[in-house]
Amino acid sequence: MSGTLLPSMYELHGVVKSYERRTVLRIAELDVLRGEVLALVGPSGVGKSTLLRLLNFLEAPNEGTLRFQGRAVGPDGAMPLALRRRVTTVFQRPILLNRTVRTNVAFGLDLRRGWRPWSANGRDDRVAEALERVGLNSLERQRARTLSGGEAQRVALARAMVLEPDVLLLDEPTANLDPYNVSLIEDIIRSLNQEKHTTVVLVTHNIFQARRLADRVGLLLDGSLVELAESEAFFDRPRDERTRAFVRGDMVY
Amino acid sequence: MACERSASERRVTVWWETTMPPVFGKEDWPRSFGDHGYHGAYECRRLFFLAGRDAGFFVACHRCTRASPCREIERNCDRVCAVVRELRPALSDHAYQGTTHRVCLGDEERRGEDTINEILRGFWQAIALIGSGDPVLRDIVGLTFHVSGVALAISAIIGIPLGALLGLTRFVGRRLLISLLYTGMGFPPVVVGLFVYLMLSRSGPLGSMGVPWIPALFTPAAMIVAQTVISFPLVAGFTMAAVMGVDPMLRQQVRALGATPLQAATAVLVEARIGVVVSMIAGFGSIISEVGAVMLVGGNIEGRTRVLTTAVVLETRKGDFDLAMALGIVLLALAFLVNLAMLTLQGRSFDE
Ligand SMILES: Nc1ncnc2c1ncn2[C@@H]1O[C@H](COP(=O)(O)OP(=O)(O)O)[C@@H](O)[C@H]1O
Ligand SMILES: [Mg+2]
Repeated sequence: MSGTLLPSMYELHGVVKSYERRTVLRIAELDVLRGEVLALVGPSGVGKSTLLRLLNFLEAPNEGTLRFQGRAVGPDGAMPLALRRRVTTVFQRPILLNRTVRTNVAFGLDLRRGWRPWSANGRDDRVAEALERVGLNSLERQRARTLSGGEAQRVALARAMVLEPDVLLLDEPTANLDPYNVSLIEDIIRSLNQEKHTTVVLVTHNIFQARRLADRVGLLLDGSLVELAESEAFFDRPRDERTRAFVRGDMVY
Repeated sequence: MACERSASERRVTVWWETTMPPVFGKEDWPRSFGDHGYHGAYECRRLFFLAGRDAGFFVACHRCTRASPCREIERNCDRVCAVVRELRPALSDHAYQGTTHRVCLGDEERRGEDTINEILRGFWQAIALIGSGDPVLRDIVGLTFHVSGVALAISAIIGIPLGALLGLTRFVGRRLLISLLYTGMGFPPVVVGLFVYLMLSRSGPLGSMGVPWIPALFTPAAMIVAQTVISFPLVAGFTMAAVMGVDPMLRQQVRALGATPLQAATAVLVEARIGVVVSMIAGFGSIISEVGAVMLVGGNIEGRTRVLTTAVVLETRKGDFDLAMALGIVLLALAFLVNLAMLTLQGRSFDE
């Protein structure tokens, strides 16, 4: 499949997601380009996390189609595990298992390995490398419960990176971190995108962060995409009135 | 019954002659008791009921244990016979079967007869029993572990997946199932015993089918069935609670990392491992300490269906408090060790 190398990682057409007949997401068109960093901004409750759940194949849309590397996932279509395993999400709150850091980082690899404990296939090296990337290799044996907030989020990031996913989905990954850890994590995301060409979809309500990291930025309001543009255009020459208001409002804050 | 100043009270239990095994033979029969004629002697640890030819029961007294036939009995005979005569009219009545009485004994018997000593002696006897590897005790402990262990294993195989299913999924009938489970968690074991008894009895719905793999009453397999019915709701209920206590986002995160539904459920169970171990401990505690159901379904048959709890009941009713204490202490110690082992295991086996 990687042989075809479509320019788009995802193509969404008329995607609708509802909970108990309340529509929370309605995306007419959205392409996520291969290798880009796409930031999605918007106030809370507009459906950003819902969109990421669809992109991670955790839930299926109620209407429309979602294409991933050319393969369509429709409302009734089963979501193949193979697709889900090429994507992963880091959530706002690092949800770590109550085990050691190493077990946490190896978790996704162990899931893929299935029930074959004897075939380590370089697992330990990959875990060590991922921890190296987030600067935490000294904490390998520490229990995840005892980590600070910033460390925990970096472990969550390492746990995602070790899988070398095609797409990394980030749901407000730095929302409750100190500035030092925010800049550490931004550096990690940037280097991951540049060195491994991982496609990144970053949900944030920090427009400075979107500006620092993203190639393109989209604004979500009430479940629909108001504007999607190159980062520079989005911030400097917003076309939509609501984008202008949002950018300005956040600038004041 | 008030005792004279020189005498102390002692509890004895009346048994009908055929309900207890003879512990010594005719050659041990006290000569001074000869005019009553030997019919079998029945032990009550320190007090004996000697069944005579002319019906009724006779109380004798001695200090030896089951293992060694008593020689001392002759020495104490006068006093014993006096007691016998005193009690005789009451004891010859069938209605006194299995009841406990107080009788008066001479000064000699009073030494160290208080409860504290009873407990201490029970404790020492427990150690002596365990140390000596008494084959009867070994059989009882073995059967207790066999029955409760297999019942717990079956309960875990049914209960843990059921608890995980109820805690992690939503389906039609889930609420009904949960309320049934809660009822099962507080169900009186003796009623479970009655139910299983009726089911398995030869005229019952299951027992009458004549299917070979349906266990017959008064077998260890029947006891396992009863104990499984008692413990699996506890295992399932506590597992469900533990699983529901895990951060709901964890399952989403685990799925986002590429887990299959089964892997996600397993990850949640592993995260709730302390609760799952506690559910097993609760299940095990409920059955290893349970009397009513195993008594009904198993029948407390010596060497076949006698477990620790039913043995304690029997020995207490026989007035053999030392042995009852010893068995009770063995039961306590075993339950404690098993729980300790399970907790240590869960603390150690995760994380390299
Ligand atoms: N599982 C769900 N069931 C019902 N409503 C939901 C569910 N998940 C999200 N919602 C609703 O969808 C809307 C969008 O939520 P979300 O995607 O979390 O927003 P955001 O991440 O932008 O803050 C909210 O109004 C929320 O209440
Ligand atoms: Mg959100």
